[in-house]
Amino acid sequence: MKKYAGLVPLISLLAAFLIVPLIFMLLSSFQSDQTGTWTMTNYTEFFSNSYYYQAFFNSLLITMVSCILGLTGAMVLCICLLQLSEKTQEKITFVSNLAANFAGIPLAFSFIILLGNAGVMKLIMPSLQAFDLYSWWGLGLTYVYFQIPLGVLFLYPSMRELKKEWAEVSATLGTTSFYYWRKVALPFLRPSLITTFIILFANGMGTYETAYALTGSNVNLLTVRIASLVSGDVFAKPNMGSALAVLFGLMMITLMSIVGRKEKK
Amino acid sequence: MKKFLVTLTLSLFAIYYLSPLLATFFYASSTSWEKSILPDDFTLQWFVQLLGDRAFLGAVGRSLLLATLMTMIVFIVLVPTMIWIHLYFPRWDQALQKIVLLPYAIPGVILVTALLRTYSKSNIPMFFVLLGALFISMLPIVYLGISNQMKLVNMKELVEAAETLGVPMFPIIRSVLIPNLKVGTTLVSLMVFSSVFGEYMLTNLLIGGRFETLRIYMLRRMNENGHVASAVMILYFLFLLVTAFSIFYFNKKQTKKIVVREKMEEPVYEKLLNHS
Amino acid sequence: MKNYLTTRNLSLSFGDKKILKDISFDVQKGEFVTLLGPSGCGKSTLLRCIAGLEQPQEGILELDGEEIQNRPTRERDIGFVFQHYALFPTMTVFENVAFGLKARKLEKGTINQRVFRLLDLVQLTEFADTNVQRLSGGQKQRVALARALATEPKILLLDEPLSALDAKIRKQLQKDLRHIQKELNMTMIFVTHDQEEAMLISDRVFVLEAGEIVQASSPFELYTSPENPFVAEFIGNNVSFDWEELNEYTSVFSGMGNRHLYYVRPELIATRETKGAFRIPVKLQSVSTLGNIRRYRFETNRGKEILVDRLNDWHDIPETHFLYIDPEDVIVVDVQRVVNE
Repeated sequence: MKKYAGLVPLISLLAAFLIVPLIFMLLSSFQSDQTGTWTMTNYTEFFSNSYYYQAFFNSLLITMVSCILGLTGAMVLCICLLQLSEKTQEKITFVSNLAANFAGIPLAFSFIILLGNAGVMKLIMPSLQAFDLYSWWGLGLTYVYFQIPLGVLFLYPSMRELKKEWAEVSATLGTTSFYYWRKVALPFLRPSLITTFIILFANGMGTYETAYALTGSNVNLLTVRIASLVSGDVFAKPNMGSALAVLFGLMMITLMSIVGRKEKK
Repeated sequence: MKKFLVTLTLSLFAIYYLSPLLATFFYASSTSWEKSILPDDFTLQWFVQLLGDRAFLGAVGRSLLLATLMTMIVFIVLVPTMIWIHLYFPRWDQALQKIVLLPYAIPGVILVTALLRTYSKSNIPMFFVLLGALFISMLPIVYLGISNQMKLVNMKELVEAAETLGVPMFPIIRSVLIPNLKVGTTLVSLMVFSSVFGEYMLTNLLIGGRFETLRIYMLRRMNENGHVASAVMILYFLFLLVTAFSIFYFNKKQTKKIVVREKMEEPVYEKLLNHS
Repeated sequence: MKNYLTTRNLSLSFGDKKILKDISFDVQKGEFVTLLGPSGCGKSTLLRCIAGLEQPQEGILELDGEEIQNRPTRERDIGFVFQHYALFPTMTVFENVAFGLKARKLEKGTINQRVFRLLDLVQLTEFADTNVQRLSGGQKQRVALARALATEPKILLLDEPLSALDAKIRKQLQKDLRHIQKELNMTMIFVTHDQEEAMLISDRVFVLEAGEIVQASSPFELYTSPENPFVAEFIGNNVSFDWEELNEYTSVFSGMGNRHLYYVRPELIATRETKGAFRIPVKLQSVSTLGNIRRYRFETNRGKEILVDRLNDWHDIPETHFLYIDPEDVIVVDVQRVVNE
């Protein structure tokens, strides 16, 4: 019995700052912001009010784009890194760490310097004038910046497993490099690619700081929308925010369980 | 041909990743920068101005405070608890691994929402709520940092040997476990410290303007004076480099120690005697 | 008979280190040739050059009358078997073996026929639908063999294919390999560092040391007539004498001078006097039983160890104070080419 005593501090902290608040949030999502009565309107409003479901689709779109580009970029980078020496493994974690912490405000700002309205790169290369950093693509480009290192971190170990001999055998059997990739390498990497994709997806959907720093509340993203509903000073609708958060959370949990099942394979 | 392509791709990536950094540095060290690759002048005035700005120093101070507090809390509460669980509830290790990854799956916004709904109107100062939130978000990092080393150091054996020798629990923890986990805990402390130091979302949404940490300061300045903001970011990045290097260094040390230990294979009780 | 595979002046360097030095040899169609040598002698590199997996700086390669040294691997029509199998992990046995055939877009019926014929040959028919990761080492290597043979290559190259296997499986596969080779009349080049293996299965053995072929002959010639000290010592057991030592026991070689080393195989050393033999005073140190060989360890008055092997007839040899060697059994080897590491 005494051994349970050691768990008390952790469990009380978990309860106070995780479990209880989550329950509260769940409960309040069923309450109306105006009257405080029990209702499902918060949830129905998500599907009816374009302001809200648009946020979801925007987040989804940017995330998907940054995931696909990020995954491809990560794969290309991994292939290149594998040609180098063994020491790269540690350096990758190092650089990944750096890139991860640089993300957010510093990253957003440096992109503004480069490609904002008065961006340096735009001045050097006037052909870039048309590029709008504060749009989809701009945001996506910024996302890719921190998605690729994360992708490399998760993809590199599996890509290292790709045996050089498989490519050699394939050649002796008379196939081209492309055929080998299509029939041997990619099928082999598939589980890892899927897992990495989902990790990037979670990362992208959950991004708040970078987006907020770059476009403020102008681009309608789910994370930013929830945050402004819950902590906005004037037009706060915390219960609506709770509902959105619940939906968001459910979606992510479903995704994670898919990952879990794939991993067990 | 292959080598050429590889070098080209790596160079492109290098440019892509370094240019934001360089741009920020140039912006932080010049007053005018117009149509060329290099800025028109070089000055340290923004850095000087920054170091004299009270708000900046205050922000740094607050970030340091948070980071230090969190590191201590993690050390005092989380690390011993994890050791405890590893020893007394080994079967929970598996479940724990999954639970601990939850914060990765569930975006921070959700936690913020939940916490705000619960505590914003209560009497509990939001500062403590922030500490709690940070604590939760540190779970995965700490767990991953410690659990690996715990397994490798073969903690169970050490403790069991100590118990058969009649040594009570606390001296065991003090003289055996902590020294053996030293590298792992240093690693974890560094990671916790640097994460909290650069935290934005939880701090801003839970407390916001009333407690201006470094990143919040950054954002504010970003909209006021780009040059000073860049200077802040460069300084922050230097800080990041230092911590990242230390993490890298200790990570290497950890893996080296484990290799050495595997080679030595001293009997367990001798390990105890050496450490008591 | 026209040569099937020819190499001329093949040289390969890695930076300033020369791995292969001016290698030239011929292989006939249907021959089983082994490249034998210690680690680092270049035998694997040589094999990979033939396959096109390494590029030599100089040299000509001809296969079946055509020059192939400038062709990429996939156009050389060779088969290759790796030491660690290199089977495609996500596929079954059938899919692995059929891989090369599918890539050539052959008809399904043809593919089926060929694959099953090969699976039959390597005795793995019932495993056709098993994922390869579930197989044992020996089974995996058989799949690798079938896979390489499926495309009916002109020549089969094997890079230490049996070195990763247990002794018993190894012996079985050595037999099977030779059997398959004879049945298909397939030209094979086999690489190994195990001289027993080489001697057992090859038509000819090429011994390599430090990037050069130091002797290329049949196993019998290799054993009885080594051309240099390296081969004499690498193949089989022996006792060696230098000129001074030998002159203590016999004057037969006194006219030869210091330029030679003298080797005797343990099975040719007698324990009873024979006509013409010279004798060496010895003392018996120990006897070991290796199975069907009994090995007697003697020591000369100079402290030199001499091993004498006898077929185990379940009796000990009678006690003796001398060993007898017929000068005709002494292998004389020129020291001139002492090959260094």
